[in-house]
Amino acid sequence: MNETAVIRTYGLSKTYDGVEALKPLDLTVAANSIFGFLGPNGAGKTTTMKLLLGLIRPTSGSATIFGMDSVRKSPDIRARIGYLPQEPRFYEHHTVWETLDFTLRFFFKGPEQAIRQRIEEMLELVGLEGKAERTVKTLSGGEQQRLGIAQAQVNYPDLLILDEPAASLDPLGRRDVLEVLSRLRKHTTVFYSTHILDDVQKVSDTVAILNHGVLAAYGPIETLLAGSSGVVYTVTLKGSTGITRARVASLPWVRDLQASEREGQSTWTVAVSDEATAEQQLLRTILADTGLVVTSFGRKRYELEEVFTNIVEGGAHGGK
Amino acid sequence: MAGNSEFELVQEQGWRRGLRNLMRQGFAGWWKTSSWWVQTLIWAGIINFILAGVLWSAQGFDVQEALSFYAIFAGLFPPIAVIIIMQDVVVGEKLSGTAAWVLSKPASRTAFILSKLAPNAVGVAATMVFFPGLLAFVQLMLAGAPIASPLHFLVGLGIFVLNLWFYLTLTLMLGVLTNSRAAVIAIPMAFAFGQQYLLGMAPVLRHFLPWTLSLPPGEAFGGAIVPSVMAGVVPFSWGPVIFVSVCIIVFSVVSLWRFQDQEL
Repeated sequence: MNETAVIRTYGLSKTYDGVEALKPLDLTVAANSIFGFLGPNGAGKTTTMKLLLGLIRPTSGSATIFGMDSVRKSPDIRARIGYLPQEPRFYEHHTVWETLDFTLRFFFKGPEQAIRQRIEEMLELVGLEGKAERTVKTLSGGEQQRLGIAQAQVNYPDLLILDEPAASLDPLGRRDVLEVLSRLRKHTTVFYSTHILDDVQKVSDTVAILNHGVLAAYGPIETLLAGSSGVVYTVTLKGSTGITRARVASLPWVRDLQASEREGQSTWTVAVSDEATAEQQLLRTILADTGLVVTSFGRKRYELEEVFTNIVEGGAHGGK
Repeated sequence: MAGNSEFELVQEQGWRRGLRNLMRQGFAGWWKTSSWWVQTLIWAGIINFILAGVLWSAQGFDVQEALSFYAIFAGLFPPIAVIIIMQDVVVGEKLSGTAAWVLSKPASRTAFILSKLAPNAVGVAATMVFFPGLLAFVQLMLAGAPIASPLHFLVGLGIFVLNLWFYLTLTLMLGVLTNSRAAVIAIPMAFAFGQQYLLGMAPVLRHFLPWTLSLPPGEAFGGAIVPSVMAGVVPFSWGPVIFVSVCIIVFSVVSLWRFQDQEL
């Protein structure tokens, strides 16, 4: 695959009966990235995925996948995609094997031996090898999810679009899915939505957060986690902090200092305007007070959950 | 696609994309499961069992009326079964999400609808008309019913098939046009049973309605079309055959056309 950007959207939007499910969206998903697509329920994630797959038509704007228009070239695009719906629904009377065989034959017509081997590989990958002859209706929710993951990958897709791939899975199943996603990075681009922010933080390299149909944050995960409120340090101290706190707060390169007390320790969150000066002088200034013990000092790193909550609840954050 | 070099790629393009796979699965649903023999048994049981009872048990039964009796059983009940079978075919897949899943693969929407149309059309024709029809032919011949020739009987069976396909395509089209299961089953059912009242109100409709293919349009107008054809008699009108054939085409085209823009 030579494309540097696998997905590009240009003001892509969707309105249902006058309600804007997705406001004009401009997004680029780079090749071989694991792109986490986040947002609360009803944010427009599934709508975006369905637009990319040609299952629904955009109200305005357009998208290209592998450089092809998502509406006019939809079947050609789908020949290179694997898709896992949010709530996978397969033909209930099909067995697990038949479901994978049916999926595979949209792409390949033979040879039979290779088809059988590929199905066996997929069953092994998702841990369903002992359930090949079970009908779909007898599978648990987690097993159906695993089958969904298998059928999405069965055609060696260049792009995987996964809508909540870890939903309905137990912690071990989730871990397996994350491992599979990481392994696929070499060959495939993964565009996936999830509510499990911890998973996103573990495997994604780029994240977009959608809220009420609007792209609220978008960028490399490191940028997002660094935050948009400038450089912030956190310091934990023991001792009488009043005088030093006032001194630090009055320094010209300190923008803000918030302090909290817990279990005899003070935690300061210090926002600075001059990173280089802060790096040299902040800790030194604090330690000048010999009555204080610094138990931890470091640059604040946001958790994705914090970033997400800030955005969804109305705060601003992120790398967009 | 990485890693697929050992496979032969599917080469279908345009509206045929995915057709072979979808057809394969549609026909397998009839012929690689118990569906075909269960349906055959049901319809042989209903049509041929009742026919045998009429032909050999009824006191003073006029064998000249045998074809009309056969046409009533074979023409009245199977359309109801067709409506029931077809009512969930498209709307069920739209609502459950399987249609969206299938169409996330490289398959055209035309192929999807054709895979619902063709296997079911063949399945109902074989199990509800031709298999019981073959048995009925033997029964009627043994009883001395006035069948003009095997060919006339076969043409009659063909008209029965058109009657079933009328309801099949009507139900399929409604499944495409609406997401209401109730509407998809109620409208064809209401039409199937309401025709006798329509004929009562406007007898001229006997030249159009599928009812008169197998049931008499009224005492003043002679017998139904299929028994007339089987007996080698010119039917009172070819209008219903033409009307039903045109409707089948229109319903199919509308289904294919409207499904192209459906949001899944």
